[in-house]
Amino acid sequence: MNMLVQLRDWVDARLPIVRAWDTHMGGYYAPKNFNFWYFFGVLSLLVLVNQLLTGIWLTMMYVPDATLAFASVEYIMRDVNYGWVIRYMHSTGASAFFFVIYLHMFRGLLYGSYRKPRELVWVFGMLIFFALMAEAFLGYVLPWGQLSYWGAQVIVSLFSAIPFVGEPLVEWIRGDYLISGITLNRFFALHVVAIPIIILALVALHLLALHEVGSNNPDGVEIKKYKDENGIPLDGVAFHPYYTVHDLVGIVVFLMAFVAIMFFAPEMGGFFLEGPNFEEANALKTPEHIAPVWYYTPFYSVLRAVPDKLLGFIAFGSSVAILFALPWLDKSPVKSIRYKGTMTKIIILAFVASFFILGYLGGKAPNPERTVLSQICTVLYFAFFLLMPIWSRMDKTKPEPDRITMDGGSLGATLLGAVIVAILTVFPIAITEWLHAVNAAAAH
Amino acid sequence: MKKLFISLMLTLTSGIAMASSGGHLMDFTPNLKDKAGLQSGAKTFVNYCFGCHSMQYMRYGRLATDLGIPDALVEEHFIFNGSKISALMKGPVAPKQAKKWFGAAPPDLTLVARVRGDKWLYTYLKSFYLDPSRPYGYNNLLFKDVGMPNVLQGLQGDQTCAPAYVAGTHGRTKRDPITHEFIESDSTECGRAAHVSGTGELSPEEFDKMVSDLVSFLVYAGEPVKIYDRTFLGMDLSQREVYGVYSLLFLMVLGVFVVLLNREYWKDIH
Repeated sequence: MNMLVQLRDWVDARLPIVRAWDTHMGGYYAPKNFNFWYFFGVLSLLVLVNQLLTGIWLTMMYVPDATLAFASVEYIMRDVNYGWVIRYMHSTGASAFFFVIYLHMFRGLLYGSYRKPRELVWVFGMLIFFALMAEAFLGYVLPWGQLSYWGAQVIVSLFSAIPFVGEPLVEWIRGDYLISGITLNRFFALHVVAIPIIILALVALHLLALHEVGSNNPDGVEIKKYKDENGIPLDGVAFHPYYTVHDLVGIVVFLMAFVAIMFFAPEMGGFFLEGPNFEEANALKTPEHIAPVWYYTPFYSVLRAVPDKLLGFIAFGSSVAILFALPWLDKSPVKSIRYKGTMTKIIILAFVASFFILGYLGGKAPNPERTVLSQICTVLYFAFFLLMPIWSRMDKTKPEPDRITMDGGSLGATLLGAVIVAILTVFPIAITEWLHAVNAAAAH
Repeated sequence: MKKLFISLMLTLTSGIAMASSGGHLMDFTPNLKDKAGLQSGAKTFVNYCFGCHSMQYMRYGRLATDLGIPDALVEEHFIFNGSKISALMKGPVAPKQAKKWFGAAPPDLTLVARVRGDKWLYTYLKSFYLDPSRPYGYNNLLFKDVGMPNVLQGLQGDQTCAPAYVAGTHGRTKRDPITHEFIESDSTECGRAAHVSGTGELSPEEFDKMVSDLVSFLVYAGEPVKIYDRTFLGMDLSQREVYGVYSLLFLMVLGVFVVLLNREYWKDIH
């Protein structure tokens, strides 16, 4: 024991490890009223580690060559001992990553976690989301199945909509006149080296910025306002051990869902691994229906909702980019949804429903009725952000408490919100599908 | 208003049902527990499919071990090209040659069950019917103008086009209230392939069993860890699911300790 202490002191005299531990773990004070929504940050980190580790092992067996890639994935699935476990951990992890990140972002929206002084935390987080979308897209191409190939074909050719430089740009990205082995090789390099480095750097920045300003909480009030004689926030607890043991509970529950999917339904009914992608890429055979994986579908819907190619591309890019501006669009006097008025609550629920509807439509083949619905939801999606400076100011807010509350918010209100979102999502879809059935029957 | 709501709900749910089944697919559940059935499926595959289709991601030895077939039998009856038992099941026909002969190379069948789905394969194999306009004399109801010849014709016998049965409610087929037979629609369109009685080496029941075994085998080949491993607490588990159950049990035990640990630390925080 004494030896260990000596070693620690020896290192600490040369590298400030005690200070680093203090700043980020043992002496980092987080509000003590975190609820369920606050698990998704640490879960994102967990999934990131999972993707890095399983990714390294997959790289040992995968062959980035157009003639061998598909076979090497099947080699991993069949001949490598426990290769199927590693591959399913990685493929399930990809979807899990987006699941936890979306909930993590929604938490920020609920409690105003992007508001001053946490703008940079949000901006770094958005950059991570952006890098993650690129990472997942590049990774999806690697198994070299039919949807890998044609998905890449569709997404890469989007850039051809850019005036003047579009076509040469697309050729430069592909490195060829069509998606080919050359494209596969460079996507592999980007997926396993370039983007992971960027993501890791951004995660470090995200956490450094967060630990500088301190965590927000479900009440949206600053715990740093009231400190004891030692300068410790009265409403804070040390991240370690309090939140490390607390997060372990969330991690175990999350892992239960994760392994249940991985071992009992790794394809998740075609949402995580799509049937047509078990057929090797074929440049001469276009699949009947090319749909992106579920986590891209809302943005893909925005792309298709606009009839013009260039404008569609701009809308697609803007639908992601506009999220960056959130800290400066929200003008509400309070941060947390708990103290916002009914109007804000309704607007947020409608926004979530329109996002879900866009997600549903993005996975379906378009028809005139669905296109109209996707256009309506695209308008709602953008209106939510663009009109936010107006509606967030108009809202009748309640006064914020001086210090945090410990009653955990209202479960009933949360459940009611979920039910309203479900109704707002299902009803417009049902009407659209019904209208389509009626119109199709009439045309017959 | 209520009627409108009900019809809306019905359209939505039927839309979902249609999307998941992909049209008029027959009901089928693969059996990955019945080793004898899987062995018979493997035999049918090798005798009737393997002549043109490869199974290039599967190894003879893996198949032998998983299905409990002695290596010597696999070497004698499954391997025609002198391959080693550890080799991949590449099949006897080079893809280039096959393309020349058939116009399109017959697809590799290792993953066909994951691409098409078991119900699709089962329906497809049972949907060939006599059609003199086609080069081999047969067409397929599910896969119109398919290039594949009706290789199971000798076993099944002939099928001819018949009007579809009248659909009932809830996705069922309507029956005559007196005879309890299915009712044919008045439409002259080809709605179903009807067996010509007296043709074929196998009875319709025997043929159904053979196709079921073959499709179950293809499901196994698509993901070998899907094969039945053991029964646990009354549940039939595949090799893959066994890991799932053990992982979940471990997490449940860990969960108890983690919850207690958390409670211990947080009991003084109010």
